[in-house]
Amino acid sequence: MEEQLNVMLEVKNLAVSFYNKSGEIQAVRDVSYQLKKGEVLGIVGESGSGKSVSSHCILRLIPDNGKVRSGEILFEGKDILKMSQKEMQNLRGNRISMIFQDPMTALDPLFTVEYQLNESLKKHTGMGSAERKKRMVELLELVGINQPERRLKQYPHELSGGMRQRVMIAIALSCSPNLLIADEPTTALDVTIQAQIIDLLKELKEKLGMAIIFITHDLGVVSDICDRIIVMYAGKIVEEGTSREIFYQHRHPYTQGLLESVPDIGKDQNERLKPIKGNPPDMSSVKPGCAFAPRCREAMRICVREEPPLMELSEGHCAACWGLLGAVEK
Amino acid sequence: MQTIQYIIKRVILALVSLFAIVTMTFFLMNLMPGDPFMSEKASEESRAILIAKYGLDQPVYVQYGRYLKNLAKGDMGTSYVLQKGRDVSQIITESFQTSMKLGIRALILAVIVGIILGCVSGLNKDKLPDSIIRIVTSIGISMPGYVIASILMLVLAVRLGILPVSFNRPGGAVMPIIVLATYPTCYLARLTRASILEVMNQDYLRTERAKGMSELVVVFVHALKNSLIPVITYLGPLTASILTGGFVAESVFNVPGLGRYFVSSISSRDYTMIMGITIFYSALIVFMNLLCDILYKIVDPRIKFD
Repeated sequence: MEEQLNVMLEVKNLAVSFYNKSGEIQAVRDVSYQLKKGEVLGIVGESGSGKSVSSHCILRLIPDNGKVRSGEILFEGKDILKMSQKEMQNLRGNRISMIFQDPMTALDPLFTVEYQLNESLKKHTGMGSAERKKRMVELLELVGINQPERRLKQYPHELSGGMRQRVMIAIALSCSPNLLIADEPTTALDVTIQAQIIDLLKELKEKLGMAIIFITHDLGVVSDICDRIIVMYAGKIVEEGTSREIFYQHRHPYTQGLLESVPDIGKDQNERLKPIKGNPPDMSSVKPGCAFAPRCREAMRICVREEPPLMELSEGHCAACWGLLGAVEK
Repeated sequence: MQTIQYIIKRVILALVSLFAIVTMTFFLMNLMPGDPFMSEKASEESRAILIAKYGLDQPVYVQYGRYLKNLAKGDMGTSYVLQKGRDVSQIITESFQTSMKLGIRALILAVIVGIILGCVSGLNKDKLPDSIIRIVTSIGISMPGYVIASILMLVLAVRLGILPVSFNRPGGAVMPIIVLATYPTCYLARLTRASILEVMNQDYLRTERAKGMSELVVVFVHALKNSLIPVITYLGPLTASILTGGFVAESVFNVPGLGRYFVSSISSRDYTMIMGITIFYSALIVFMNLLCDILYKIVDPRIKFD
């Protein structure tokens, strides 16, 4: 029962498709997961795996040619997909906020940092202008921007990439959200800046206690920030477990492949990185069987005929692979 | 400080280009066959006297030197043919007032209608309003001014009789304003449409939505401001050309404006008038472009003056 109360976000059987001239592209196929209060969930996968689309759906920010075909997204018990436009606007940037991949283009170039920060504070909080100003300075300090008063007056082009992402984070945190969705927040940044942003997010999570959904294609990035990790492939969850389980007890060949393709400074210098051979499948024509089968080293005959269900290996650790059938039955 | 430096630099550059324009126009004009007094029904002798009186019998470079000297003193000379004996600067001032009155109204009309049409079109991409606006603006852009003027005259003045043909009657300014505004309206609509379509896909609009901003704020504060940047660039030359009067609109409707004088000064080889209007027109374009660049800087903080 207590477990149930702790669940803040529940995605149930979500399916999203995009429609273009050549037909339907199934971006997300039957994805379900839960997020507890204060939990950090990593969603990992290649480009086109549906990780971004599934999380953009939480704020209903998918492009016009995309459509949620079925499913529910319950946020604190209420289905987001059934909310009115007005309810949605009150939720966005307030209870749930989001930071995006490319900070270079995510801020409006024609408005100052102050204007863009002020917008959401004005919309969602009842603060007066002096109070908002104070809050803005606090927020910039919180995300590690020095000389906040001066920065507020600046335009996005006057800030570096890392600085802009910090501003984005400040905007996202401005109304103390319960959930922060970070969509590849470090992908477009230099490696050193990446580490700084990750550290900042970790620190903020400790301080503010909000839940985070951290989307990335790089397992190396999420290793020490996430409590749980979902691995997605071709619009489906292929493995789900705690960070530990995903890193040390992963069972799905795709997770294995992802981990092998992460560069590791401790490895033997002569050892080559092992990429996953082949390309992700074309989602406009979904074939029967496991979507990963054509690239899988361990594929069996059943893999190309029938889709494997998500099988529970231990409590909270699931994977969808026919190869695990024996392990589950035992 | 940087802005003042920039403006000074631009003004000096403008003077250089004006000098080049004066020089080129002067010599090209003198290459035209004939002279200002060709159509005079006077004897050969009296023509020769007139030519000698205005110094047109001297070598071209001497005339050029004299013109520059006078111009430096602010003297553009007197009209040879059109309003014989009157100061060119006086004629320009007078006729420019007429052109400007029409032009400002046409400009306001074009900017408001053009931008609104562009927004409606861009925000309803590939839907019915967009298709209609695209067809209408394509026609408006490709139809020459005299055709539009003739159709308007035929329909509004002759058939329906709701507007006078003559410019001097009440309501006489309506048709010239429409003719003046048609092309810029259509062009602005298309420019705004293209610009809005590009801006609507930008990441920062998604950020605004993710912040919980209403669609109204997203479109009319963020998208519109960003999409007006290319429009501003076009406004400079547009303002200059519209203010000096459409040559066609003024000729067809017999408006005593600058545009009409420009056309008739060339056909009657009224040398001082050609020079005067060319200089005025060029200076106005240069000035409007400078003004636009400054406006550009105000709207877009990324622009640097250097």
